[in-house]
Amino acid sequence: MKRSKQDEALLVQLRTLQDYELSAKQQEHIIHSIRNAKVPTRKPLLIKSSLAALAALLIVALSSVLWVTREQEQPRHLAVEPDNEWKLSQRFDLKDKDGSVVYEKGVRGIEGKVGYLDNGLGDFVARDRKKGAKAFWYVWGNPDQLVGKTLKATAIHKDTGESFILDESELSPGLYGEDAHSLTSFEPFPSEGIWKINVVIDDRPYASIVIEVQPGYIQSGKFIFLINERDLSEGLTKEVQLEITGKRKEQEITVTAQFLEDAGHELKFPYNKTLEYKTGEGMDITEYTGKITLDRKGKWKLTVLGDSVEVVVK
Amino acid sequence: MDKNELIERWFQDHHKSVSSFLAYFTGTADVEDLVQESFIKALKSLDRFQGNASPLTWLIAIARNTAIDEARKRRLKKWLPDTFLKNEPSREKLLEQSLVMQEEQKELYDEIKKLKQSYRDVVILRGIMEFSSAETSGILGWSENKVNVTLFRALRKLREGLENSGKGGGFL
Repeated sequence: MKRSKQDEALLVQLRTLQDYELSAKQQEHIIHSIRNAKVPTRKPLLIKSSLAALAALLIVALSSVLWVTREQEQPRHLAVEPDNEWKLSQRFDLKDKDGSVVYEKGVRGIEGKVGYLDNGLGDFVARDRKKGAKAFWYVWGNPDQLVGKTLKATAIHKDTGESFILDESELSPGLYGEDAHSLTSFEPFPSEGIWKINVVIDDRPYASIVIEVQPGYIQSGKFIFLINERDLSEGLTKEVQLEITGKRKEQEITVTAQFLEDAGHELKFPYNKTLEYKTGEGMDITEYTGKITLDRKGKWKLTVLGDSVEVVVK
Repeated sequence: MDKNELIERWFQDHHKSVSSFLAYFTGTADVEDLVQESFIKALKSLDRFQGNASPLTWLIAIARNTAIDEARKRRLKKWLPDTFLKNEPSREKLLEQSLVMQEEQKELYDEIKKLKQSYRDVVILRGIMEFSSAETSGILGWSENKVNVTLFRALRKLREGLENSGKGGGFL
Protein backbone atom coordinates (compact mmCIF):
# COMPACT_ATOMS: atom_id res chain seq x y z
CA MET A 1 0.00 0.00 0.00
CA LYS A 2 1.53 3.27 -1.09
CA ARG A 3 0.96 6.24 1.13
CA SER A 4 -0.28 9.50 -0.29
CA LYS A 5 1.63 12.74 0.04
CA GLN A 6 -0.98 13.94 2.51
CA ASP A 7 -0.44 10.89 4.70
CA GLU A 8 3.31 11.38 4.57
CA ALA A 9 2.90 15.01 5.62
CA LEU A 10 0.66 13.95 8.46
CA LEU A 11 3.21 11.37 9.65
CA VAL A 12 5.91 14.02 9.59
CA GLN A 13 3.68 16.31 11.64
CA LEU A 14 3.00 13.50 14.13
CA ARG A 15 6.73 13.03 14.62
CA THR A 16 7.10 16.62 15.75
CA LEU A 17 5.00 15.90 18.84
CA GLN A 18 7.22 16.13 21.87
CA ASP A 19 8.39 13.24 24.03
CA TYR A 20 7.09 13.23 27.56
CA GLU A 21 9.65 12.73 30.33
CA LEU A 22 9.19 12.09 34.03
CA SER A 23 10.88 14.46 36.46
CA ALA A 24 14.24 13.51 38.01
CA LYS A 25 12.50 12.81 41.29
CA GLN A 26 9.96 10.52 39.66
CA GLN A 27 12.74 8.68 37.83
CA GLU A 28 14.68 8.28 41.02
CA HIS A 29 11.61 6.94 42.75
CA ILE A 30 11.10 4.28 40.09
CA ILE A 31 14.77 3.27 40.09
CA HIS A 32 14.43 2.66 43.80
CA SER A 33 11.38 0.53 43.45
CA ILE A 34 13.11 -1.52 40.75
CA ARG A 35 16.17 -2.03 42.96
CA ASN A 36 14.06 -2.99 45.94
CA ALA A 37 11.52 -5.13 44.13
CA LYS A 38 11.70 -8.75 45.16
CA VAL A 39 11.58 -11.22 42.32
CA PRO A 40 10.93 -14.47 44.29
CA THR A 41 7.57 -15.35 45.84
CA ARG A 42 6.25 -13.44 48.82
CA LYS A 43 6.73 -14.47 52.39
CA PRO A 44 3.64 -15.15 54.51
CA LEU A 45 2.12 -11.99 55.94
CA LEU A 46 2.55 -13.10 59.54
CA ILE A 47 6.32 -13.37 59.33
CA LYS A 48 6.48 -10.08 57.51
CA SER A 49 4.56 -8.15 60.14
CA SER A 50 6.40 -9.70 63.08
CA LEU A 51 9.68 -8.90 61.36
CA ALA A 52 8.54 -5.33 60.91
CA ALA A 53 7.65 -5.12 64.60
CA LEU A 54 11.04 -6.48 65.53
CA ALA A 55 12.76 -4.02 63.23
CA ALA A 56 10.79 -1.15 64.74
CA LEU A 57 11.88 -2.20 68.21
CA LEU A 58 15.49 -2.40 67.10
CA ILE A 59 15.34 1.02 65.49
CA VAL A 60 13.96 2.54 68.67
CA ALA A 61 16.69 0.85 70.72
CA LEU A 62 19.45 1.77 68.29
CA SER A 63 18.44 5.32 67.58
CA SER A 64 19.22 6.44 71.11
CA VAL A 65 22.68 4.90 70.83
CA LEU A 66 23.20 6.37 67.38
CA TRP A 67 22.08 9.77 68.55
CA VAL A 68 24.79 9.79 71.17
CA THR A 69 27.54 8.62 68.79
CA ARG A 70 26.50 11.15 66.22
CA GLU A 71 26.73 13.94 68.69
CA GLN A 72 30.24 12.90 69.56
CA GLU A 73 31.28 12.56 65.96
CA GLN A 74 29.82 15.82 64.84
CA PRO A 75 32.84 18.09 65.41
CA ARG A 76 35.10 15.82 63.40
CA HIS A 77 32.90 16.16 60.35
CA LEU A 78 32.91 19.90 60.38
CA ALA A 79 36.44 19.86 59.06
CA VAL A 80 37.79 17.66 56.30
CA GLU A 81 39.04 14.46 57.80
CA PRO A 82 42.80 14.06 57.88
CA ASP A 83 44.33 12.16 55.00
CA ASN A 84 45.47 9.28 57.13
CA GLU A 85 41.88 8.40 57.91
CA TRP A 86 40.89 5.27 55.95
CA LYS A 87 37.91 4.03 57.92
CA LEU A 88 35.17 2.76 55.61
CA SER A 89 32.16 5.07 55.44
CA GLN A 90 28.87 3.57 56.53
CA ARG A 91 25.42 3.67 55.03
CA PHE A 92 22.74 5.81 56.64
CA ASP A 93 19.04 6.58 56.16
CA LEU A 94 17.90 9.14 53.66
CA LYS A 95 15.20 11.16 55.40
CA ASP A 96 12.46 13.35 54.01
CA LYS A 97 11.86 16.94 55.11
CA ASP A 98 9.44 15.76 57.81
CA GLY A 99 12.04 13.36 59.22
CA SER A 100 10.43 10.19 57.86
CA VAL A 101 12.79 7.65 56.34
CA VAL A 102 12.72 7.62 52.55
CA TYR A 103 15.43 4.99 51.92
CA GLU A 104 16.59 2.96 54.85
CA LYS A 105 20.39 2.80 54.86
CA GLY A 106 20.21 4.02 51.30
CA VAL A 107 23.07 6.52 51.32
CA ARG A 108 26.78 5.89 51.87
CA GLY A 109 29.00 8.67 53.09
CA ILE A 110 29.16 11.11 55.97
CA GLU A 111 25.79 11.64 57.59
CA GLY A 112 24.75 15.26 57.64
CA LYS A 113 27.42 16.19 55.07
CA VAL A 114 27.48 14.27 51.83
CA GLY A 115 26.77 10.83 50.46
CA TYR A 116 25.81 8.94 47.34
CA LEU A 117 22.84 6.69 46.75
CA ASP A 118 23.94 3.15 47.54
CA ASN A 119 20.88 1.01 47.59
CA GLY A 120 20.56 -2.61 46.62
CA LEU A 121 23.31 -2.87 44.02
CA GLY A 122 26.16 -3.87 46.33
CA ASP A 123 29.69 -2.49 46.22
CA PHE A 124 31.23 -0.94 43.14
CA VAL A 125 33.09 -3.45 40.98
CA ALA A 126 36.37 -2.48 39.31
CA ARG A 127 36.02 -1.42 35.67
CA ASP A 128 32.25 -1.92 35.78
CA ARG A 129 30.09 0.98 34.54
CA LYS A 130 26.74 -0.39 35.58
CA LYS A 131 26.42 0.66 39.18
CA GLY A 132 27.62 4.20 38.55
CA ALA A 133 25.59 4.67 35.38
CA LYS A 134 22.93 6.56 37.28
CA ALA A 135 24.30 8.02 40.49
CA PHE A 136 22.85 10.48 42.98
CA TRP A 137 24.74 12.78 45.33
CA TYR A 138 22.97 14.11 48.40
CA VAL A 139 24.50 17.06 50.23
CA TRP A 140 23.57 18.68 53.54
CA GLY A 141 24.58 22.21 54.49
CA ASN A 142 23.66 25.77 53.66
CA PRO A 143 21.63 25.61 50.41
CA ASP A 144 22.93 29.01 49.33
CA GLN A 145 26.46 27.64 49.28
CA LEU A 146 25.46 24.43 47.51
CA VAL A 147 22.73 24.83 44.91
CA GLY A 148 24.08 25.80 41.50
CA LYS A 149 27.64 25.07 42.62
CA THR A 150 29.89 22.37 41.18
CA LEU A 151 30.57 19.21 43.11
CA LYS A 152 33.85 17.59 42.12
CA ALA A 153 34.72 14.14 43.43
CA THR A 154 38.25 12.78 43.09
CA ALA A 155 38.99 9.19 44.08
CA ILE A 156 42.38 8.08 45.43
CA HIS A 157 43.50 4.47 45.86
CA LYS A 158 44.79 3.65 49.34
CA ASP A 159 47.70 1.42 48.30
CA THR A 160 48.77 2.68 44.89
CA GLY A 161 47.94 6.37 45.25
CA GLU A 162 46.33 6.23 41.83
CA SER A 163 43.66 8.90 41.41
CA PHE A 164 40.99 9.90 38.91
CA ILE A 165 37.99 12.20 38.68
CA LEU A 166 34.99 10.14 39.67
CA ASP A 167 32.44 12.83 38.91
CA GLU A 168 31.90 16.50 38.34
CA SER A 169 28.32 17.76 38.40
CA GLU A 170 26.18 20.75 39.29
CA LEU A 171 24.08 20.64 42.43
CA SER A 172 20.31 21.14 42.27
CA PRO A 173 17.94 21.87 45.17
CA GLY A 174 17.23 18.99 47.55
CA LEU A 175 14.63 16.36 46.68
CA TYR A 176 14.00 15.04 50.17
CA GLY A 177 15.52 16.11 53.46
CA GLU A 178 18.90 16.95 51.93
CA ASP A 179 19.81 20.50 50.97
CA ALA A 180 21.14 19.78 47.49
CA HIS A 181 21.44 16.83 45.14
CA SER A 182 22.72 15.92 41.72
CA LEU A 183 21.85 13.17 39.30
CA THR A 184 24.96 12.10 37.43
CA SER A 185 27.12 9.21 36.17
CA PHE A 186 30.26 8.02 37.92
CA GLU A 187 33.36 7.00 36.01
CA PRO A 188 34.22 3.36 36.76
CA PHE A 189 36.87 2.60 39.37
CA PRO A 190 39.94 1.28 37.51
CA SER A 191 40.94 -1.22 40.19
CA GLU A 192 39.80 -3.01 43.32
CA GLY A 193 40.68 -2.04 46.88
CA ILE A 194 40.05 0.82 49.27
CA TRP A 195 39.36 4.16 47.66
CA LYS A 196 38.88 7.56 49.23
CA ILE A 197 36.53 9.95 47.48
CA ASN A 198 37.40 13.56 48.20
CA VAL A 199 34.39 15.76 47.62
CA VAL A 200 35.05 19.40 46.77
CA ILE A 201 32.15 21.83 46.41
CA ASP A 202 32.65 25.22 44.84
CA ASP A 203 36.42 24.64 45.03
CA ARG A 204 36.28 24.07 48.79
CA PRO A 205 37.04 20.64 50.33
CA TYR A 206 33.76 19.41 51.77
CA ALA A 207 34.14 15.83 53.02
CA SER A 208 35.81 12.50 52.24
CA ILE A 209 34.14 9.15 51.82
CA VAL A 210 36.05 5.85 52.02
CA ILE A 211 34.69 2.81 50.21
CA GLU A 212 35.75 -0.66 49.17
CA VAL A 213 35.71 -1.55 45.48
CA GLN A 214 35.35 -5.24 44.61
CA PRO A 215 37.67 -7.04 42.14
CA GLY A 216 36.64 -6.83 38.50
CA TYR A 217 34.74 -9.48 36.66
CA ILE A 218 36.58 -12.11 34.65
CA GLN A 219 36.77 -10.64 31.19
CA SER A 220 38.54 -10.52 27.87
CA GLY A 221 38.09 -7.93 25.13
CA LYS A 222 35.03 -9.75 23.81
CA PHE A 223 33.34 -11.38 26.77
CA ILE A 224 32.76 -10.99 30.46
CA PHE A 225 31.80 -13.55 33.09
CA LEU A 226 29.69 -11.87 35.75
CA ILE A 227 31.72 -13.23 38.64
CA ASN A 228 34.79 -11.96 40.48
CA GLU A 229 37.96 -13.99 40.20
CA ARG A 230 38.00 -14.05 43.99
CA ASP A 231 34.65 -15.87 44.10
CA LEU A 232 35.81 -18.48 41.63
CA SER A 233 36.77 -21.02 44.24
CA GLU A 234 37.48 -24.66 43.64
CA GLY A 235 34.46 -26.76 42.79
CA LEU A 236 32.19 -23.80 42.18
CA THR A 237 28.91 -25.01 40.74
CA LYS A 238 26.60 -22.04 40.60
CA GLU A 239 25.20 -20.46 37.49
CA VAL A 240 27.41 -17.77 36.05
CA GLN A 241 26.22 -15.39 33.35
CA LEU A 242 28.39 -14.66 30.38
CA GLU A 243 27.96 -11.48 28.35
CA ILE A 244 29.37 -11.35 24.86
CA THR A 245 29.74 -8.18 22.83
CA GLY A 246 27.60 -8.11 19.69
CA LYS A 247 24.48 -9.91 18.49
CA ARG A 248 25.10 -13.67 18.48
CA LYS A 249 22.85 -16.15 16.69
CA GLU A 250 24.07 -19.30 18.50
CA GLN A 251 21.51 -20.70 20.92
CA GLU A 252 24.23 -22.70 22.65
CA ILE A 253 27.96 -22.11 22.89
CA THR A 254 30.74 -23.98 24.66
CA VAL A 255 33.00 -22.60 27.34
CA THR A 256 36.30 -24.50 27.42
CA ALA A 257 38.38 -24.56 30.59
CA GLN A 258 41.95 -25.81 30.33
CA PHE A 259 43.87 -26.56 33.49
CA LEU A 260 47.25 -25.04 32.70
CA GLU A 261 49.14 -27.04 35.28
CA ASP A 262 48.14 -30.35 33.69
CA ALA A 263 47.80 -30.25 29.91
CA GLY A 264 45.56 -33.32 29.86
CA HIS A 265 42.82 -31.81 32.02
CA GLU A 266 40.25 -29.94 29.99
CA LEU A 267 36.56 -29.32 30.77
CA LYS A 268 33.73 -28.14 28.53
CA PHE A 269 30.55 -26.39 29.67
CA PRO A 270 27.44 -25.73 27.59
CA TYR A 271 26.11 -22.16 27.80
CA ASN A 272 22.60 -21.24 26.63
CA LYS A 273 21.45 -17.95 25.22
CA THR A 274 19.24 -16.13 27.71
CA LEU A 275 19.05 -12.52 26.56
CA GLU A 276 19.90 -9.97 23.94
CA TYR A 277 19.97 -6.29 24.78
CA LYS A 278 21.49 -2.92 24.06
CA THR A 279 23.60 -1.06 26.59
CA GLY A 280 23.10 2.62 27.38
CA GLU A 281 25.87 3.39 24.90
CA GLY A 282 24.01 1.49 22.18
CA MET A 283 26.24 -1.58 22.19
CA ASP A 284 24.64 -4.96 21.50
CA ILE A 285 25.18 -7.60 24.15
CA THR A 286 24.19 -11.26 24.05
CA GLU A 287 23.89 -12.98 27.38
CA TYR A 288 24.42 -16.71 27.93
CA THR A 289 23.90 -18.61 31.15
CA GLY A 290 25.47 -21.85 32.33
CA LYS A 291 27.29 -23.62 35.10
CA ILE A 292 31.02 -23.72 35.33
CA THR A 293 32.97 -25.98 37.68
CA LEU A 294 36.73 -25.56 37.98
CA ASP A 295 37.63 -28.59 40.07
CA ARG A 296 41.29 -27.96 40.83
CA LYS A 297 43.27 -25.19 42.46
CA GLY A 298 45.64 -23.36 40.16
CA LYS A 299 45.79 -21.62 36.82
CA TRP A 300 43.05 -22.11 34.26
CA LYS A 301 42.47 -20.78 30.78
CA LEU A 302 38.84 -20.05 29.83
CA THR A 303 38.07 -19.92 26.11
CA VAL A 304 34.85 -18.60 24.59
CA LEU A 305 34.40 -18.33 20.80
CA GLY A 306 38.15 -18.25 20.23
CA ASP A 307 38.85 -15.58 22.84
CA SER A 308 40.66 -16.53 26.08
CA VAL A 309 41.37 -15.30 29.57
CA GLU A 310 43.50 -16.79 32.35
CA VAL A 311 42.20 -17.14 35.89
CA VAL A 312 43.54 -18.53 39.15
CA VAL A 313 41.41 -20.74 41.37
CA LYS A 314 42.54 -20.36 44.96
CA MET B 1 23.70 -9.59 35.79
CA ASP B 2 20.77 -10.01 38.13
CA LYS B 3 17.25 -9.25 37.03
CA ASN B 4 16.84 -6.03 39.00
CA GLU B 5 20.03 -4.65 37.47
CA LEU B 6 18.94 -5.56 33.98
CA ILE B 7 15.54 -3.91 34.39
CA GLU B 8 17.19 -0.84 35.88
CA ARG B 9 19.41 -0.64 32.84
CA TRP B 10 16.40 -0.97 30.58
CA PHE B 11 14.69 1.75 32.58
CA GLN B 12 17.65 4.05 32.00
CA ASP B 13 17.64 3.28 28.29
CA HIS B 14 13.92 3.37 27.67
CA HIS B 15 12.07 5.33 30.35
CA LYS B 16 11.49 8.25 28.02
CA SER B 17 9.87 6.09 25.35
CA VAL B 18 7.72 4.23 27.86
CA SER B 19 6.62 7.47 29.58
CA SER B 20 5.85 9.12 26.23
CA PHE B 21 3.86 6.14 25.06
CA LEU B 22 1.81 6.05 28.26
CA ALA B 23 1.26 9.81 28.27
CA TYR B 24 -0.13 9.80 24.72
CA PHE B 25 -2.00 6.55 25.22
CA THR B 26 -3.79 7.76 28.35
CA GLY B 27 -3.86 11.47 27.53
CA THR B 28 -2.50 12.41 30.95
CA ALA B 29 0.85 13.47 32.34
CA ASP B 30 0.23 11.47 35.51
CA VAL B 31 1.92 8.34 34.30
CA GLU B 32 4.52 7.80 37.00
CA ASP B 33 2.58 4.96 38.64
CA LEU B 34 1.93 3.28 35.31
CA VAL B 35 5.58 3.56 34.28
CA GLN B 36 6.65 2.07 37.59
CA GLU B 37 4.11 -0.72 37.42
CA SER B 38 5.17 -1.55 33.87
CA PHE B 39 8.83 -1.94 34.81
CA ILE B 40 8.01 -3.97 37.91
CA LYS B 41 5.80 -6.23 35.79
CA ALA B 42 8.65 -6.60 33.32
CA LEU B 43 10.96 -7.55 36.19
CA LYS B 44 8.54 -10.19 37.43
CA SER B 45 7.92 -11.70 34.02
CA LEU B 46 11.46 -11.45 32.70
CA ASP B 47 11.58 -15.22 32.27
CA ARG B 48 8.97 -14.86 29.56
CA PHE B 49 11.00 -12.32 27.61
CA GLN B 50 12.07 -13.72 24.25
CA GLY B 51 15.65 -12.83 23.47
CA ASN B 52 14.77 -12.19 19.82
CA ALA B 53 12.36 -9.35 20.64
CA SER B 54 13.84 -5.96 21.48
CA PRO B 55 13.49 -4.93 25.13
CA LEU B 56 11.85 -1.66 24.07
CA THR B 57 8.99 -3.21 22.09
CA TRP B 58 8.46 -5.73 24.87
CA LEU B 59 8.33 -2.95 27.47
CA ILE B 60 5.88 -0.91 25.38
CA ALA B 61 3.61 -3.96 25.03
CA ILE B 62 3.67 -4.40 28.81
CA ALA B 63 3.02 -0.69 29.37
CA ARG B 64 0.04 -0.79 27.03
CA ASN B 65 -1.47 -3.79 28.82
CA THR B 66 -0.86 -2.13 32.17
CA ALA B 67 -2.67 1.01 31.06
CA ILE B 68 -5.60 -1.01 29.69
CA ASP B 69 -5.87 -2.98 32.96
CA GLU B 70 -5.85 0.24 34.93
CA ALA B 71 -8.58 1.77 32.78
CA ARG B 72 -10.64 -1.39 33.25
CA LYS B 73 -10.23 -1.15 37.03
CA ARG B 74 -11.31 2.47 36.99
CA ARG B 75 -14.37 1.67 34.93
CA LEU B 76 -15.31 -1.01 37.47
CA LYS B 77 -14.95 1.51 40.26
CA LYS B 78 -17.79 3.52 38.78
CA TRP B 79 -20.12 0.83 40.09
CA LEU B 80 -18.88 1.13 43.64
CA PRO B 81 -20.83 3.16 46.20
CA ASP B 82 -19.91 6.84 46.42
CA THR B 83 -18.13 6.45 49.71
CA PHE B 84 -15.34 4.50 48.07
CA LEU B 85 -14.88 7.05 45.38
CA LYS B 86 -14.40 9.90 47.79
CA ASN B 87 -10.99 8.55 48.61
CA GLU B 88 -9.90 8.98 45.06
CA PRO B 89 -9.07 12.57 44.31
CA SER B 90 -9.38 13.59 40.71
CA ARG B 91 -6.32 15.70 40.06
CA GLU B 92 -5.13 14.23 36.82
CA LYS B 93 -2.92 16.50 34.87
CA LEU B 94 -3.72 16.57 31.20
CA LEU B 95 -0.86 15.93 28.84
CA GLU B 96 -1.46 19.13 26.87
CA GLN B 97 -0.86 21.10 30.05
CA SER B 98 2.55 19.53 30.48
CA LEU B 99 3.94 19.74 26.97
CA VAL B 100 4.81 22.74 24.94
CA MET B 101 2.64 22.50 21.83
CA GLN B 102 2.23 24.87 18.97
CA GLU B 103 -1.28 25.62 17.71
CA GLU B 104 -1.09 23.06 14.88
CA GLN B 105 0.23 20.40 17.22
CA LYS B 106 -2.58 21.10 19.67
CA GLU B 107 -5.20 20.64 16.95
CA LEU B 108 -3.52 17.44 15.86
CA TYR B 109 -3.37 16.16 19.41
CA ASP B 110 -7.05 17.00 19.97
CA GLU B 111 -7.95 14.93 16.93
CA ILE B 112 -5.76 12.00 18.08
CA LYS B 113 -7.67 11.94 21.34
CA LYS B 114 -10.96 11.54 19.44
CA LEU B 115 -9.76 8.46 17.52
CA LYS B 116 -10.94 5.00 18.49
CA GLN B 117 -8.40 2.92 20.33
CA SER B 118 -7.03 0.81 17.49
CA TYR B 119 -6.49 3.94 15.39
CA ARG B 120 -4.86 5.71 18.31
CA ASP B 121 -2.57 2.71 18.85
CA VAL B 122 -1.10 2.87 15.36
CA VAL B 123 -0.98 6.65 15.23
CA ILE B 124 1.03 6.74 18.47
CA LEU B 125 3.32 3.82 17.62
CA ARG B 126 3.89 4.35 13.90
CA GLY B 127 3.53 8.13 13.93
CA ILE B 128 4.60 9.81 17.14
CA MET B 129 7.01 7.11 18.30
CA GLU B 130 8.32 6.13 14.86
CA PHE B 131 8.22 2.37 15.35
CA SER B 132 8.42 0.28 12.16
CA SER B 133 5.44 -1.78 10.96
CA ALA B 134 7.22 -4.91 12.17
CA GLU B 135 7.84 -3.48 15.64
CA THR B 136 4.27 -2.19 15.87
CA SER B 137 2.93 -5.59 14.86
CA GLY B 138 5.03 -7.13 17.62
CA ILE B 139 3.72 -4.71 20.24
CA LEU B 140 0.06 -5.01 19.30
CA GLY B 141 0.13 -8.68 18.36
CA TRP B 142 -1.35 -7.86 14.94
CA SER B 143 -0.15 -8.90 11.48
CA GLU B 144 1.95 -6.31 9.69
CA ASN B 145 -0.76 -6.06 7.09
CA LYS B 146 -3.32 -5.16 9.73
CA VAL B 147 -0.94 -2.51 11.08
CA ASN B 148 -0.59 -0.94 7.64
CA VAL B 149 -4.31 -1.03 6.83
CA THR B 150 -5.24 0.39 10.21
CA LEU B 151 -2.66 3.14 9.90
CA PHE B 152 -4.03 4.05 6.47
CA ARG B 153 -7.55 4.34 7.87
CA ALA B 154 -6.42 6.14 11.00
CA LEU B 155 -4.56 8.78 9.02
CA ARG B 156 -7.59 9.32 6.80
CA LYS B 157 -9.81 9.73 9.84
CA LEU B 158 -7.31 12.10 11.41
CA ARG B 159 -7.19 14.22 8.24
CA GLU B 160 -10.99 14.34 8.06
CA GLY B 161 -11.11 15.47 11.64
CA LEU B 162 -8.60 18.23 11.02
CA GLU B 163 -10.44 19.42 7.92
CA ASN B 164 -13.81 19.40 9.68
CA SER B 165 -12.51 21.40 12.56
CA GLY B 166 -11.83 23.98 9.87
CA LYS B 167 -8.48 24.88 11.28
CA GLY B 168 -6.34 21.92 10.37
CA GLY B 169 -6.01 22.63 6.66
CA GLY B 170 -3.12 24.91 7.36
CA PHE B 171 -0.29 22.50 7.15
CA LEU B 172 -1.74 19.95 4.75
